[in-house]
Amino acid sequence: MSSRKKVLLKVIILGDSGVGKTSLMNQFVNRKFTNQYKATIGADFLTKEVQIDDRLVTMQIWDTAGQERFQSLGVAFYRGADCCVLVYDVTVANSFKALESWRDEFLIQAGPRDPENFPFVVIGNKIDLENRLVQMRKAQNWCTDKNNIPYYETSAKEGVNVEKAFETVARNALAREKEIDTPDFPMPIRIPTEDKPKDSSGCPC
Amino acid sequence: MTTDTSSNSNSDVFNNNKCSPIASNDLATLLEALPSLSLHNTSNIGDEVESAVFINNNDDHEQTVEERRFTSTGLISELIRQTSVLNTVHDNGASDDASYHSADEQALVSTIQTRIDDEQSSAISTLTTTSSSNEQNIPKHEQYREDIEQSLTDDDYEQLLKGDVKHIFILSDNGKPVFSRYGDEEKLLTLMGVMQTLISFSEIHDRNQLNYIKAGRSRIVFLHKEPLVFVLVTHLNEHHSCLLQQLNYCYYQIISTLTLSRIKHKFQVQPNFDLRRWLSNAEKKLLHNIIEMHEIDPGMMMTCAKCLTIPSNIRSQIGLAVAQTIRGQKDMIFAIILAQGHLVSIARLKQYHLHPSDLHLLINLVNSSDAFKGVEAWVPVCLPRFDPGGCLHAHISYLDDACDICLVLMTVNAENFQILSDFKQKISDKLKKNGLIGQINIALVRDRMFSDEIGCNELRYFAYKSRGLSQYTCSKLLAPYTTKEQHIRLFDLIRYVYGRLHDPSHQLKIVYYAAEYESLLGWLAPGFEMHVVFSPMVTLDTVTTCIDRILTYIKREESQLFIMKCEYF
Repeated sequence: MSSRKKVLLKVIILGDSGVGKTSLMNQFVNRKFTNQYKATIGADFLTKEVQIDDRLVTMQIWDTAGQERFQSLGVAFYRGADCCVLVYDVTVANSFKALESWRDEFLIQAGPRDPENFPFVVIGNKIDLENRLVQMRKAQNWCTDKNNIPYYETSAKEGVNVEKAFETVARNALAREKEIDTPDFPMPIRIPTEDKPKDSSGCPC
Repeated sequence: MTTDTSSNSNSDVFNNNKCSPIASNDLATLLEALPSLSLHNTSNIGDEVESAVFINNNDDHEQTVEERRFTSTGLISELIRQTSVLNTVHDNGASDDASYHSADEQALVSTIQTRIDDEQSSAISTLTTTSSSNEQNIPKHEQYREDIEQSLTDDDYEQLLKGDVKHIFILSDNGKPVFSRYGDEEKLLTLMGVMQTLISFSEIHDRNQLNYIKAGRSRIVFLHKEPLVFVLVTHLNEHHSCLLQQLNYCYYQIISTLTLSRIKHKFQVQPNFDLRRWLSNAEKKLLHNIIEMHEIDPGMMMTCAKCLTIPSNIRSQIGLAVAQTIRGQKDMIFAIILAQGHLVSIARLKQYHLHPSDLHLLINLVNSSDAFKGVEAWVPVCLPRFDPGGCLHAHISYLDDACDICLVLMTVNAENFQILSDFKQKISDKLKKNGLIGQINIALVRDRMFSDEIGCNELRYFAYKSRGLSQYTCSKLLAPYTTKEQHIRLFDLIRYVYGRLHDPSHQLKIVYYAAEYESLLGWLAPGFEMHVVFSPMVTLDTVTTCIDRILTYIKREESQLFIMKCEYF
């Protein structure tokens, strides 16, 4: 059980429809951007290998559908996530307001241990656009309130800050990974007393 | 040309070969009129559950229960539609697959020819040709696996599922990979994510379990046993129940090494856990081996054990020697002697039965490692059908210098190594003193069914399972089944017949399948199940005569073919 082994991190990206979740992921993984909008149906997956200090990390990124009619996977999707990225569009005020409910939904559905300290990262995307509506300070305050969630402003189009944001994602998930690694051993079988024979014929499954 | 009269006569005849003169009604009537049959069906074995080696396990029943889930069919077309949206599964020609049982049948005859061609050109056929001994071939297969893996480029991973090998993937239900039969699971993260999504999608939307997708040539079988997901992808024409069985063995194998309660607990406290951390190469090898074993072992298919053919008085001497040595030791559960994968004797605590599939896991454990040879090994083992929540401690050692005869002693007490080690010494001394090790060796050399005794030139192979005893016996594989690829091909066919015989949607008693290079008979009778392989042009007369002789032979030799009675501590 060597801790030097390559680590696999499951990263969930959440946020309103059209805030640029898929674009961020594509920019991070493929360094590509397209202006065309294609709604994600259900889910999309990409993987990327990164090096965090001396550790090799594989990020398995689960890009979810922001549109409500495609959001059906919930629990199944969020289960066992190592980190959650919340994305909003700096030019759409509602997408920022929705962060609260995205975060709540994730915590309810995924039900992680110690939800207060679950690693989130918040990304304000599309800073390349002129018509910004959500001020940086407002977003930062919200993040501070939520137990100091790291906050990044990015442009998936121009590749600004994307790498840095995802590096933080990996770093924070990794830090949490170290905390838990409890050794545990299988339980021994006890033979019941003679007069209460165990029914070994029952199907255990 | 197909004659399918199954609905009336409870028997099925498939003729791929136009000249085959067998008609199903005749066959069923003739077989059921055999004088030797009455001896088998009225057998009193199994009545004495107490002394049975294995519990008279309701496997057949159990399997039906498990298979019954397959009969919900509306789901499949639904899912295929959904997957085509997700653009993940090739769905050519599968959309009409509302009831895949019937589709399966229609496709049957036309697929047989292609199937055989496929097999011959498939990558599996490139396996080196050697003797059919299991152990000898494992390293070769490993080499082959590595060859496949090394030859895969990143682009190939996209094409991985289109290849002709049977893929098996295991993931945890958080979507993280656990195991892949071929290829580096690290490169299959996306695929694993898609599989997890498919499973969850059907569970959330239909409150139903996704079991089986047939899409074009691909058959995809799913097994979700929290917190693990097992997926098999194949292009061969194997019955889904056999494929599901193979996945179940993978599940049992994982439990056997890691214990179900421990896995469940870990995922409860740490849902993001990566189970690969608990699987070293040795454990992965066990998985690879159980998958390969299933492809060539009729005992795993029929859920029963194969015993060494040995005179019954010798067997009971061996059993007594073991049981008497151990008697009085409270925490002992099982004491098993294996000879080259055959069960020689089993002694156990009263009221505790070993399930045949647990025995296969033990055999796999013993066969998978040379590390047990020449030493006394002490291994924690979970037997999932015995108790998936805890583990027993196995003392594994060999009783002869050639390491053919293996003694497995199982206790619940982790501190008992020294006591079991002393038992081993005493058992070994007793068996040697009475010449019983020599007797086992003689039986090993002799262990085969002489075709002469049956006296039928057209008989190529048979396997007979006593349903009451949960044991089977089979004839030795002779030419043309002496190479590994022929061996695998034969068992693919037998598994196909087995699948037809056990199909929950139409219960059959007899399946006769005239394939390209051989004719196969599967017969499920109240007291037994048998699978017989003949040369392709065999006549009805020969089939019935031959079956009669087999049944007579088995009844006559019963006491040395099977373990009729178990020893207790």
